[in-house]
Amino acid sequence: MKLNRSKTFFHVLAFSCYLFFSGVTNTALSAEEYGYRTCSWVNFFSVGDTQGQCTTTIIDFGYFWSWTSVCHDQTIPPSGRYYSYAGAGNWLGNCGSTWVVYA
Amino acid sequence: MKHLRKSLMIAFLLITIVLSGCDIPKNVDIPVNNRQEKMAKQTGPIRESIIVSPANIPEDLQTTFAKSAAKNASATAQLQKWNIQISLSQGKIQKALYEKRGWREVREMINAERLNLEASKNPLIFMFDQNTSVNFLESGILRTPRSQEVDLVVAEHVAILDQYNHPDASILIPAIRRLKGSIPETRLNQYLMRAKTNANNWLEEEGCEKCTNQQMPEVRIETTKRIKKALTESY
Repeated sequence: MKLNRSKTFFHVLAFSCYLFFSGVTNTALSAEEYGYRTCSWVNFFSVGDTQGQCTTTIIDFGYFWSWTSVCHDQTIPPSGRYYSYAGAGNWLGNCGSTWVVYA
Repeated sequence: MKHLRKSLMIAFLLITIVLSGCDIPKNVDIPVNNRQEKMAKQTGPIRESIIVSPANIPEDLQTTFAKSAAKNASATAQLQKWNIQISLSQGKIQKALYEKRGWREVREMINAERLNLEASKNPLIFMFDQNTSVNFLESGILRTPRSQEVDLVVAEHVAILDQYNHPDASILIPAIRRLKGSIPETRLNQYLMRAKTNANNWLEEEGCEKCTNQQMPEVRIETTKRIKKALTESY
């Protein structure tokens, strides 16, 4: 009986280790495992005293992301039509995304 | 003793679950006006890749821009399609660099993606060119030991950025300096001069140390500092 208990303890320990290392409970995506998703929308916005419309795409890799904007006019601050940003961390914006998975 | 062991096991399991991370992404639709602000808060450092508008904007892009601005739905959809295609191609390269794949493989991927974009006549290809060359130089090839083969690839991407009058001197100047001995001295000096002029022009028109009216002001401030530093160090 003593042996069984210790077996149970090690089963729990092993399962816990599995959870810890596999990140099963972590719902954040890993780029390697899941590929990435794209979000895109037409972005009407107002920044400072300028207004404009941009088509924006975000690729969310789970850990890092990249954002590109193509804007309709040059009044978008300050004078550019095209923007590109990249970063690390979680992008939490919801934009009616579709999934694109690469093998 | 029996209860203690049981409680210990449960506590251990709970601690493990908590430590392994229960950060369920919040699917909150962030209002447009504070989207950028939220993004800046929720992520780590953000890097801006400067995209320079080409001297001659392709005609189909100009037409689509104009139609889309006039609320033509199919033009907006077309613009979106081009943008998604560019973003995905850039993303593949960014992912490969993040995974620290070899520079030869990344270079092949860049060329393959470029051919795809050319074949589909995507007029936003200049965004891919600039973004990819900057990322490739910065995260890949510039960290590779020098050789004739590597220098050739560096020169290739320096030429792409030079062709667009790219102002990111923080990447271009070290890349150009690295080519000493591999390309003719006159060409090297020409590249350097143009990189500095483009950087100065950009700083004058778009750089800011205390700006607020940008898409992401804090990121632009960082970019400005980075370029200014590169210019100061180059003199």
